[in-house]
Amino acid sequence: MAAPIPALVNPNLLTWAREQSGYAPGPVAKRLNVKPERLLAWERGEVKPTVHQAQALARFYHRPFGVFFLPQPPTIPPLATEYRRLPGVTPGVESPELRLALRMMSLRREIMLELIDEMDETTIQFTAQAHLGESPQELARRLRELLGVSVQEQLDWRDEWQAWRRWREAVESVGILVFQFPKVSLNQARGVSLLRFPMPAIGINSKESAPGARIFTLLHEFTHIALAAANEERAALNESRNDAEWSNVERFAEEVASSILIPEDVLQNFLRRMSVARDTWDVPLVRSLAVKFRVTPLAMATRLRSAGQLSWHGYRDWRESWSQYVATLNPAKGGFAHPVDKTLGRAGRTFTQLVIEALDANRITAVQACRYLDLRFDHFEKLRSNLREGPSAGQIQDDGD
Amino acid sequence: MYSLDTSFFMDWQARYYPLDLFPTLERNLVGMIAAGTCGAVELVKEEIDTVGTPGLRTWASSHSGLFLPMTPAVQIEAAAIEASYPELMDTTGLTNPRMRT
Repeated sequence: MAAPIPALVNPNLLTWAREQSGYAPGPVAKRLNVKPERLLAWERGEVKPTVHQAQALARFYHRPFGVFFLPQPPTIPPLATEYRRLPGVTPGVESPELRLALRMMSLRREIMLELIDEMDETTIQFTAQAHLGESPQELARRLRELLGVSVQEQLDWRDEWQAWRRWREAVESVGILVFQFPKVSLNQARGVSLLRFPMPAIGINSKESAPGARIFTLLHEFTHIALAAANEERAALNESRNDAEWSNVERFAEEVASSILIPEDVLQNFLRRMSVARDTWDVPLVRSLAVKFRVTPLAMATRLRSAGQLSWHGYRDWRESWSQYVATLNPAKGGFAHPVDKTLGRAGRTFTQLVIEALDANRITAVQACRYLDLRFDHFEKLRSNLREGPSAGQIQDDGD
Repeated sequence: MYSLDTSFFMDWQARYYPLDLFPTLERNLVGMIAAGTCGAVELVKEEIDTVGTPGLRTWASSHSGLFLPMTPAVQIEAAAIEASYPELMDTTGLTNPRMRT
């Protein structure tokens, strides 16, 4: 067996790459099956890792291997200058999983802009603006009109997955990229937005198994982007509100999202027909109404509260009953998703379509296309076929995971 | 001496010149490998394993002599190229050599 080859890496870059990924030395050393002291000795330049160890580090940090050979660490703006403020997440100390998700979103957005330029296409400008002083219902009406989803269309959807795909398509059509990210706990983030213009981006946590919950998160993030477009909120690093003030912004975005999904006049029509007394909504009643709009029962209960059908007390009681009901359910089983469906789930149709077009026009290489889409080349034919069929043809649950 | 990158192999076998239709091309390349007039760094093999078609991956595995180890001399040369052409390195880019799919 040949002797291990030392990697002539710049030790400063090893430290830089680890810190940029948000890792302490311990988990990295464990992953590489070395002692933390060994890793730190590499970072101090006292000893060199082998080429295979350095390659393993590059894979773990999701950096090009060549980055370790740069003369000095690159200057990269903090991630928190891009993403919106997330409750419970301190700018600069994001988890490694969230940092990777944010980097992935940011990179896809940059690739998208480059390819649009390369292909002489036009960037769709996101034009909507939202103000915190507006009535949530009126703002929701305006945003829904922009998205172009009619109530009749919504009531005709066959299931929540179709609803998810259509809402996603509608948001993408107004100049927002929609991605899904895996491996981040729901406690950290159900969704996140990159407040960059043009082409801001929304990321949805694919751990959220219910499509109705993803839809709500999508429209919640959509509202945040519209607020940012009007300078009503800023990226996490620049957001100066205190926690209570920020809670009000979050509550406003929730109310707008639920009103986009369940417009006031349509809700009132249903309520007249159902004739349920205030604060007497039980779990089956809320579920029966939620399924008509293809939203989660929780989103419907939130909407009933804002419509005055539930008092805060009644809402809290309902949530308690809902939690008890959910606890009796069997956990959802994950099905097998084809790699193509995973790619479309993660990257979205807008991004995927442009990458394929750029490949066909020889503006990027096959290797780049595979990298951008995180997909082996032998799956590309199926991907093309899926893109031709359009989003509504899909029957699968696009996990994006 | 020709240094081959992953795009060369992808364009050759996976896109434009499949082995069964262009056997002479393969024969000539195998001859060049034997003569030591072409090669690829082992990172290319890793990348082929990540993005390549099943046929290309099998072909690469059966021609392991093509792929050269990252010796200190190769690393020094590569670092010098990086230093001369820093725009070649996308430092923000995610490389994900072992993709999930």
